[in-house]
Amino acid sequence: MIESLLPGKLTARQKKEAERKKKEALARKKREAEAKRKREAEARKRAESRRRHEEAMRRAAEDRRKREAAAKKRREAEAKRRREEEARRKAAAEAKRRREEEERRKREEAARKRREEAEANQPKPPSPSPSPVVTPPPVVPNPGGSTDPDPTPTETAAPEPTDPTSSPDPVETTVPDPVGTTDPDPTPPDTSEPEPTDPPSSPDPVDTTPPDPVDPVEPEEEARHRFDSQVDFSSNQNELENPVTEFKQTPDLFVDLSFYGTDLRFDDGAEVEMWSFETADQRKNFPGPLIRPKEGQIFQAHFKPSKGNHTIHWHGMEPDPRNDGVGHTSFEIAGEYTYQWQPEKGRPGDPNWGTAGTYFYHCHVNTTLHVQMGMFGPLIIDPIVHEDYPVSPGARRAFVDGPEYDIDTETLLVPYSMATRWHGMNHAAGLSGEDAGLNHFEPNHFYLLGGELARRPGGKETVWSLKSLRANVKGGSRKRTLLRLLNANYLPTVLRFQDSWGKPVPMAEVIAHDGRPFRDTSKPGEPSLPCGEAGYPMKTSILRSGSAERWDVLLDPPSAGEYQVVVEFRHWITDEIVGSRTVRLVAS
Amino acid sequence: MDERSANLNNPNDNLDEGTMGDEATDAAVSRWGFVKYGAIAGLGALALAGGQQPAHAQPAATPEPEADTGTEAKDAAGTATETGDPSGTGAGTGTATDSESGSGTDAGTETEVDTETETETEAETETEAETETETETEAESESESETDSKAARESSDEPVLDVYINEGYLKMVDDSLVYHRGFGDRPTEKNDADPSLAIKPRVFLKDGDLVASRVYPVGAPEPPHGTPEPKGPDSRNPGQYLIHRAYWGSFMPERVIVAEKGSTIRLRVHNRLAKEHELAIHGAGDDGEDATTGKIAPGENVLLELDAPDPGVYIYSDPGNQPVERTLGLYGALVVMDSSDPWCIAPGLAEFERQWVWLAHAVDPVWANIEAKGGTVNPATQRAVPRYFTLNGRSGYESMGMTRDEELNRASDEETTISGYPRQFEVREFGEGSEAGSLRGGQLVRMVNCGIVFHQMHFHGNHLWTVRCDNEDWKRSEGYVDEDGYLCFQQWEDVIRLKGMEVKESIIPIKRPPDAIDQVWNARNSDWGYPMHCHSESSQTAAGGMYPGGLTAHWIIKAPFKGPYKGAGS
Ligand SMILES: [Cu+2]
Ligand SMILES: [Cu+2]
Repeated sequence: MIESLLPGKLTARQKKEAERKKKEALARKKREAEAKRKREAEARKRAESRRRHEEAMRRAAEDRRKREAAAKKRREAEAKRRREEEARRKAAAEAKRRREEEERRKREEAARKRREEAEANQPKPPSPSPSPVVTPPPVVPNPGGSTDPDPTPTETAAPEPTDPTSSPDPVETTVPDPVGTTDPDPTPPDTSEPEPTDPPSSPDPVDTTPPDPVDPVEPEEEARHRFDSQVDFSSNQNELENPVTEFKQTPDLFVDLSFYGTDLRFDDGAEVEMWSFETADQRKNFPGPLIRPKEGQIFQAHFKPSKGNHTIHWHGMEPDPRNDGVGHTSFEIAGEYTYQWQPEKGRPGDPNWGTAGTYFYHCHVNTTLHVQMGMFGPLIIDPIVHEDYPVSPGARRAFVDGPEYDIDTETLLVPYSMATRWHGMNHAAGLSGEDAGLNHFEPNHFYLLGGELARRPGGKETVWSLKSLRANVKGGSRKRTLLRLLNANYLPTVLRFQDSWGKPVPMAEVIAHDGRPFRDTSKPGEPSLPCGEAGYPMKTSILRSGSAERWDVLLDPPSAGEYQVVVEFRHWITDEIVGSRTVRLVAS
Repeated sequence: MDERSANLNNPNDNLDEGTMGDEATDAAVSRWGFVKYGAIAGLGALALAGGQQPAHAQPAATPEPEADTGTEAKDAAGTATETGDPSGTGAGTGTATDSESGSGTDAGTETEVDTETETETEAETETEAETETETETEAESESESETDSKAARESSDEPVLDVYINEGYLKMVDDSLVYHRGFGDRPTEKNDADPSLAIKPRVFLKDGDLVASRVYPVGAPEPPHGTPEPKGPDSRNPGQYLIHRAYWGSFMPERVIVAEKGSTIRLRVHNRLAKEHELAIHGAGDDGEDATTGKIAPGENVLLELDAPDPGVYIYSDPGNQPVERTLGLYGALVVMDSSDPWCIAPGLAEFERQWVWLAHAVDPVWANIEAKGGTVNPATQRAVPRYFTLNGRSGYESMGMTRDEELNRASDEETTISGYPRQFEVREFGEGSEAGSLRGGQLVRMVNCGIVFHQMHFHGNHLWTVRCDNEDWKRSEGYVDEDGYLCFQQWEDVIRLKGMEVKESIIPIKRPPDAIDQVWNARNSDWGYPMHCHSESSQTAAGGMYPGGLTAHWIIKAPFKGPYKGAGS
């Protein structure tokens, strides 16, 4: 107010000052406005730039998506082309194989005729009677050494076992064999006369053509298959309609297997969908039929899976890849195929040879699911009979120079646990990349399958369950009881032998594992005796085993009476007991 | 410090090229050349780059605005501060905050970010580059000042392998990314496109050197694609071969440290994570105790120094929160060899043509996610449900070398796919000092289960002869069943039990498959490939299906050799 009363008193300086202030204020305002405008402009610019950037990113992303889509399309087209190419190549290779086989068969047929004519005058050996073998008996009469390969001396300094003239097993035929389908060796002519030490060097008497290893025709299959992804691999396993059996021989043992699926009732009342194998005289039983060839026999199994792709892997048998039954190293069977292999013969005291023992066969397609669904059965290889190791009546040897056991009480024990959640899925569950939960096996039923091999029920749609065991007490004429443990379970298991009060009884002598005997191999250049014979039988009351292992165990109960056999099913991570089964063992 | 070890200590140089002066000139020798294969880590990088990260993702760890991993890491720290995103220095606690401020501002400020982060990033990478070169000296001076008696013993010219406990994401066989921790050989960040979660193979030599070599013995000829070629035909066994005795080198997989008997193993273990961690070499200490760093606090490092234990295989892992840290990826194996006879398990024990080290592992992504978000898994209440099963870090078709990535296939061939030419095998004298017998010997497979599930290693085509379990030699006579029911005796097996943390050693004969008929064998003109797979069948899956996408491999009996025979080896 005073100022307004004294306007005239303002000095020029003051005026100037006021003016300046005003100007400054104005300028400030202007600057601020300008700054604001600038800021806004900048913000706009930034926004614009961001928008452009985002736009560019979007476009880039779009481009990338397009490029990727195009690339994916190209890849898929390429993959398709490659698959078709591969399929063509495979088909061509199979066709070639088939032609070759055809020619081979013709040649063999001609040779056979000639031989038959030559032999027409000679008396024929009596043909052994009832043979389940479907194909005609072997037409490989021993050509009397004329075509026999020179039994070349052994490969190493190792002592050559004295066995060469392994006599055709006379014992086997007199023993009533418990197993219907798979009578081992119905024919005396043992193709095994002098033992060639070096398998590859022995020209086959049947195959008149010399081996022709260098076939200059196109490489039949890509040396290595390549896939775009795990799903691509899993959902595109090799599949062949009717693959040909190479160098198909006349079999000594032939079985005809097919696939079945049905609901089965288990001993705890559970009714569950199962898949497995069947033969004409074992219909829809679980596990699959026992197959029991003898060392040295040519074994063939015809398999025609009726629903979906399957294979048969002869677990522990070691043939060539085509007969090994694995999709990704050979083929899955869409139509039919005849597997062929010949279990190697044992030699006494030699740890390098021989296959006699306990095995199993199982499907190897989407195995996690298919084996759990039940696609397996027992496979036992019996030894050849060596002249130095004759066999008593009613007995058999576990391997060529192995201990004798009592045929009547020979028992198969198959731990198997079941997760019912998995039963009811599609054959190809998980293969297209969907989460089928197959990594998580949570069994809710625990079974002991099997029983006395001489007494498998022959019915239809039955589960072969182990109800109790018998075991011979030492002494008397009976040999010991052989227990064959086949672990068809996905979990670790513990097998215990105990008395009725639960006290451990070390009655189990472990003689073989995975089809190979335990031998003392400590002395190179000397025979390797079976452990029992070498003076330290491995006896125990407890035995651990895991999935797919097989153990051959001779039972030696200390005295007559009742015992218990316990199988614990353990967790595969924590080792906790998740299930348990106990059966009675009666020793007499 | 000699030149080689000096160079080795620079994590950026040691594994790159074969350019190591004088040593590198011999091409036939594998001392330096290699490790350009990307294996899993490399693929993981691709997956990351193509996935969440924009195209300009730097190879070095640059926190990405979109990737929330930075904040996750902070959560993980719980107690905040530097542990989340330590810079490249690893051991350096002081510098650790730098990068964090970077990622921290990202979240807050809005518009400026675009331009600013870019410059920031540059600056960061620069400093990172700087600090990395300094890492060694820095760390060394630190450890010198440490009061730890072992550290005090260390003199500057003794080579040390720096081990970095890192975290990151690995690509599984189905391309999904799963959080892992691992013992790496260079410091990397959680969101690194190529995290270092496995040590590339190193060898502590008896003479005191430390070298980076995938091949042992160092300098031995590399078997082409992993396959030892034969010495010549076995005239007494047509179609079969005599092997080169004491000739071929063996490729080691990632995570394997080799130490020669008489050497001193020195690992400086840097904990770059938010929680305490530890590196223990199980059974490698005096009297079979674990040799361990003890708990290492976040940001700290500890020097572990020990004399190489007896020849054998020793798992190393972080035993923390058993078995969680190991399952998250903190595992590997120490292989001790006797350099006086490096083609034997130990002098007087099984001899082999070459050896294969197989590390089995099982991955549980649920556990991984809990830990990635900063939680702590309680293994008793949160039961493990593994979803991926690996062999040498690979599963399914990757492990079989059947991908379209040739480098990956090659790594599988060299490290996993057992292969060789058929030979007559004599189990009574494949080694153990026998002169003639060893020419017909097999290959050694060392199966090491660093995971948690009970594996059953099943080989098609040949039975294997098992000689050792957990560094205990099984006898050739007088076997026994132990009190737990395990049978201990040298034996043939087609299924080899391998429980968690167990080591089994077996000889694969590579012989003619015994049950193939003669005609088929004689007409053979291609490789015969067989599967090896675990028979605890759940391990054959990936992500709940995709059989056979789990712990599996192939092994190969080679087609007739076309020559020429080479190598003057015995
Ligand atoms: Cu199997
Ligand atoms: Cu198999």
